[in-house]
Amino acid sequence: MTRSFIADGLWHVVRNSEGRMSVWPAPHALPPGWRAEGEPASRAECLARIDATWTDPRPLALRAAMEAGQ
Amino acid sequence: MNDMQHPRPADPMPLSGIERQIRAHEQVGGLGPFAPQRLALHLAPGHDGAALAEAARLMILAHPAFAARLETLPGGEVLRRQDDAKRPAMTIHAVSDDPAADAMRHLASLSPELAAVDLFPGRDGSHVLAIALHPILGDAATLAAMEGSLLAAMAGQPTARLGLRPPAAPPLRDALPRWRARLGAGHVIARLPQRHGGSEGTVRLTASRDLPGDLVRDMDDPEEVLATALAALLARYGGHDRLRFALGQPSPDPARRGEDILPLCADYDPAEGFAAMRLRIAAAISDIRADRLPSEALVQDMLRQAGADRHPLGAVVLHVRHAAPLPQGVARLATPRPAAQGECVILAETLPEGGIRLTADHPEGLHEPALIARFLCHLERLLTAALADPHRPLAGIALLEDDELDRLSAPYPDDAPVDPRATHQMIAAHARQTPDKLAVICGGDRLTHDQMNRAANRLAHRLIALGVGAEIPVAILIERGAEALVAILAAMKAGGAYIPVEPDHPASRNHHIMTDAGVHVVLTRTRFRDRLPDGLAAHVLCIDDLPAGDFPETDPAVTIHPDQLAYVMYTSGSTGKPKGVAVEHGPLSLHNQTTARVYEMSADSRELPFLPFSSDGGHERWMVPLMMGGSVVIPDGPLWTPEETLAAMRRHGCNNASIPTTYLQQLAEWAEATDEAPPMRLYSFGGEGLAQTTFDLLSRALKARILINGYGPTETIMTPMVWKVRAGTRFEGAYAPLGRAVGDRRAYVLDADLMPCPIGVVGEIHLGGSGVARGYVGRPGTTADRFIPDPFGPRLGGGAGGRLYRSGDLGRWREDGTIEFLGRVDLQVKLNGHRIEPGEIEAALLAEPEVSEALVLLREDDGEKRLIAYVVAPARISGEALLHALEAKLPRHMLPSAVVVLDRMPTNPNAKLDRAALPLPGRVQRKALGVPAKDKAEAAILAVWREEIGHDGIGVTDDFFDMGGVSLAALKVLARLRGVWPGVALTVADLFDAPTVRGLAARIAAGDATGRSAITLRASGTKPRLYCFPGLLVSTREYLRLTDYLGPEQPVTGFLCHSLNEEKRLNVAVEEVVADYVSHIRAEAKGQPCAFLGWSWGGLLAWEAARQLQGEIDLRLIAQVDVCDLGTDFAPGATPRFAPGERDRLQAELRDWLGRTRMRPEWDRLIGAMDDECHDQLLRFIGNEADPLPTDGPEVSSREHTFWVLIDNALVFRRHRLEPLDVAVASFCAGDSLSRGLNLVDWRRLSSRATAAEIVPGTNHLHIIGDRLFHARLKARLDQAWPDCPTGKRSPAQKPPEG
Repeated sequence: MTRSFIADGLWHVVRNSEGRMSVWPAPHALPPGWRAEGEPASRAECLARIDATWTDPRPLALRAAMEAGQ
Repeated sequence: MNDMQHPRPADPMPLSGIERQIRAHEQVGGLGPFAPQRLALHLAPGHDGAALAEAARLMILAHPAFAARLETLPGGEVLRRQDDAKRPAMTIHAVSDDPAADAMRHLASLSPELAAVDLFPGRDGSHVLAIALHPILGDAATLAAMEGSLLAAMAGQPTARLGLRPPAAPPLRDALPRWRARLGAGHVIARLPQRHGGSEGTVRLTASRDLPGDLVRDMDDPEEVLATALAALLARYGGHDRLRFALGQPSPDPARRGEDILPLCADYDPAEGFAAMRLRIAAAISDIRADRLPSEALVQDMLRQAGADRHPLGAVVLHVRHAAPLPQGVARLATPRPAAQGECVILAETLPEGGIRLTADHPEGLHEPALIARFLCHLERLLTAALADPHRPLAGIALLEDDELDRLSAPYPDDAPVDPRATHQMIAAHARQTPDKLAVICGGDRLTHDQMNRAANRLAHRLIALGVGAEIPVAILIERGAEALVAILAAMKAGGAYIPVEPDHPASRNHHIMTDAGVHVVLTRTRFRDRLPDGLAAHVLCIDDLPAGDFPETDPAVTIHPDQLAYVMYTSGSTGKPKGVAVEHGPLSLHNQTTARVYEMSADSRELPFLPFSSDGGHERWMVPLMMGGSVVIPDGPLWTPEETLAAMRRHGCNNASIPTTYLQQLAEWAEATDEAPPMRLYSFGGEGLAQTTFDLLSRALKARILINGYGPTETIMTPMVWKVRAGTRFEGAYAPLGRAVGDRRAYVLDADLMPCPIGVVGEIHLGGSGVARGYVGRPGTTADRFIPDPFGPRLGGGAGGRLYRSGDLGRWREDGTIEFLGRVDLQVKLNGHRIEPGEIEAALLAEPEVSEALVLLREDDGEKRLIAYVVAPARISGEALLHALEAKLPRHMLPSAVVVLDRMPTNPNAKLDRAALPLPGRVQRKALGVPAKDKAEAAILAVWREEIGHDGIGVTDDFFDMGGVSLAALKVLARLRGVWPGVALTVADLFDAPTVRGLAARIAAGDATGRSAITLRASGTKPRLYCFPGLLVSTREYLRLTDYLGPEQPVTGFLCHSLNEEKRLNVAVEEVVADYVSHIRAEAKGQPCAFLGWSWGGLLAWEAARQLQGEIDLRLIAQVDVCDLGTDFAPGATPRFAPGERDRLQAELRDWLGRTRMRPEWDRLIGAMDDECHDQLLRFIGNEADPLPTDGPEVSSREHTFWVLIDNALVFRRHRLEPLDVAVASFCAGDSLSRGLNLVDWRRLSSRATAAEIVPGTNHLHIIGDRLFHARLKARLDQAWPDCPTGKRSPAQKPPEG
């Protein structure tokens, strides 16, 4: 594979409707179902932000179901 | 030769380099890469036939090509003379209904005569005018000029007569250093993806595509634009940032042939837009054009080094031609083709009606034809996007459209409705439907569906009582078996997430798992209690010592949410601590349901799952049969022998088995040896790449209908991809394909910028859809790193917000949309500008029958990076032989510098490969042991060796050739040893047989020196023997690679060159030289089938031996390899030319030299035997020598000795007449020999059963004998030569034990 032009560029922290988080290269259009959160940054910085903020790995629907069940 | 500088038109002119090359091709077999140059013009009704004929007459008068006459001088030199009498008249054909078809048929049938003009009148008043030109006389520019003259004459304009200038000498001395710098700057020769094991055939195929006019209108300079687009596309295809291809150069002079190619180096920056890259390409084009040299001069220079690329200027060639506009009513039906000087030659021609036609011409067998057509399509897509937005990053341009992506990424078709139940709920249902049916067999344990369900329920209620519920982890520290299944089902029934922990795995790993996952309950046995980490805050339940309590046997009333965790599986990461992969119930159940359908499972399925429980695949293989109401036979120990496994399958009536790939080989070998395999419906396997040889063995030995190769990282749940085939299926490629996705998933091959790769292009395998894991337990950052948003799913009918898992595995799409595995991304290495997948090299090694394991690493040693291959193979297999085998299969840049043979791979205590413990190989020149001499004889030999090899550390047990001894050094050593022991006739054969000082000394002491002229390169084999006749002054070692390539069934004998064998005997006749060889062959092969190979001067010897042995042996084929007739130097009748006074000066120089040389007596004898003509030729020869005449003789291998041998040989040759023989001849010529215009022998003149020479491009007279393309073509001819002889397939009884 060739060198990547996205690797060293800016990335978004992104989140989907289930609350799952990931990163996405800023030059590419955001895939449907994902929205960007905060300012774009380096990939490593975005991952560090996710490490700090994504504390509950459960999808939102499961969270809601478990809370309703309690 | 002063008079040659200003020739009058009628004077003969020498040919240019390219013209000589074409002539040489034609002399031995055909035009090779040079097609006849043809133009056909269609003239609409209304053009007057008589006016046309007159215009054609004026055109014929105006162009020198029509008056060319070629004369061949003795020695093969060809001169061109202009002779107006040669100008042809146009042939006017009969009026017909379809003159266009007539003209095309006529052009296609024309043999390449020099020049012809034909007119085909149509009944409707139209005409087709066809011009056919021998490629030696012109090219596209010539025909364009002719077309211009014709159209001008038709319009009543004057037609100027073109002059013909002699070819100019290229400014080599000046320009070559600059070219060496350009070509040595680390640019990789770009290629299109090749077929596995494909080689460059002689037949060429074409693909074409028309770029629409509105696209072309935006191109102000089509050459610059197309070259830039091609460079970017080749970069995307090959993964190179710095690459090279060749760019066509139009002829500077339309009066003669001059179209050529020059290498163009391009740097690719993925972030850059088209406009920026184009600026650099434009500069590079001006740079090379300003420094133009004939391509053959550059190729000759590059091929001097062994190991140069076959197409050193570029394997992909782009020619861009601007066709002149045509008047109304005139159209071109056929245009000339450029020379096929590359693997893929793309011609871009502007079309009069707008648009550009791309025609790609490529050799049959090397690429998939569909791939070439797609490449042209991608070129158009890239151009369209790049021209629309010249600043958009080139790497971001999509090459695949959604419909192609849809087709390639699609899973196995499956329309069945989804069952919303969780896996364990579907299993439990069978306890009600078929309660008494057996579910699990393990050792002495038998559980029916009902018994299993009740036991699991009891345990589940206990777990619930301990607080287990949704998202609560339960560790299962129980060995594989019926109780482990019950425990796992219980954990799921309680709503918890089970975590399998293998009791026999290292404690540190298990402690990490239980702590990391924060397990709430551990289900285990009393005997494993002490394996729990200290201070673990979890309830521990021992299934063999459960506390008192009465728990119901009914299904617990627990609701399972599809997003709730089913299990956490810890992966054994190659670095760092194991990570827990968390998998939810919804995707797990869906995966199991679709897998059941792909595997065609039912209630009748009885599976033997051999996969361990520490891999998720092991769990799939018991869950799926039980979900279908079937049953499983679980091995009661981890290490069943193949015998036990096959016996269990038979005893329990298994119809499915799932086996790790590593165990499969053993199992199949046992089955083949004993014929004990029970008939099975299906085997599934996975875990590692499966080589074709192993796959063939399974197909043969394990009696199964269906075979499934499963692939999948734990992160994508069990086996997200499978390749399902009937037994006996063949596949192209090193490893069995990974197949395609299963269930609600898609598999993609993406490049580093997340763009889908075209078929055949290497990228990273990504898996998307609902069948992926939740992520890594407690590692949100790592989860986000590996599970990325899926941009494709929504475009291909999937839901929004999905994720893709980046597998870290490299692969490429195959033509059928299945994916081929190539290795790990993090193991991909870069060496000399090439990106290399070690997996591809490993696979090539694994395909060798004796190799059972292979590993390829990039190692750095003294600052030098080298690829080293490690293999496990029997000790009798040498690394060198494996290296030779690789040469036949891999491109040169992928060849490791050493193959190290081990009896086993070193492992660390965790049974993982210990890379650090792998030995470094010896240098290419192996380390000397340096054992000292024990007596005077050894000391004498050792001293000579040390001096000639130039290595003081050599000892008496070191191998001459391993120590860097080459043929030349061998000759010097033998000559010097003959001086010490004059009575012992030492030959190269002795050095071959006894390549150590000690061995050689023993031979001399025993008087055992052979003096033989034959060396057995391979003693036995099922095919008839091949005898190799030596070139002048070469030893027989040059035939080793060839022998290796021809395989274990091809016996080969090599003869020693007489000039190495004998003291200088003047003017020995060819008949005498072969006498030894002939008696050897007579004694060995009388009445037997055999074949000869003659290389260089050896071709003459082979021919003479064949003549002498006529009627005595069954000679099936003579392979003649680059055999040259005497050139202008010494050919009889080739009168040398001298400048005034030059002859006397050379005469004096000769006298002066003879007064100084120690070889005076030998020279006197040689010169005394010359006639006057030959003496003059000698003077001319001396005059042509660039260096001073040598006086370093008479030792063998001195320059003077070589000089003497060459001239002596020329004298022998002058007297020798080749006589016609009735024998099949296959002739091979090195591309470089043709480009030098050497006077190669046309064997068709000497045998009616000789075929045209096969041209081996990218090699020269010296290197051809070790060239793998030559080897492949020779092998094909040999195989044809013995259709009635054994083909080399041994009967099973003779098959050597493998592994």
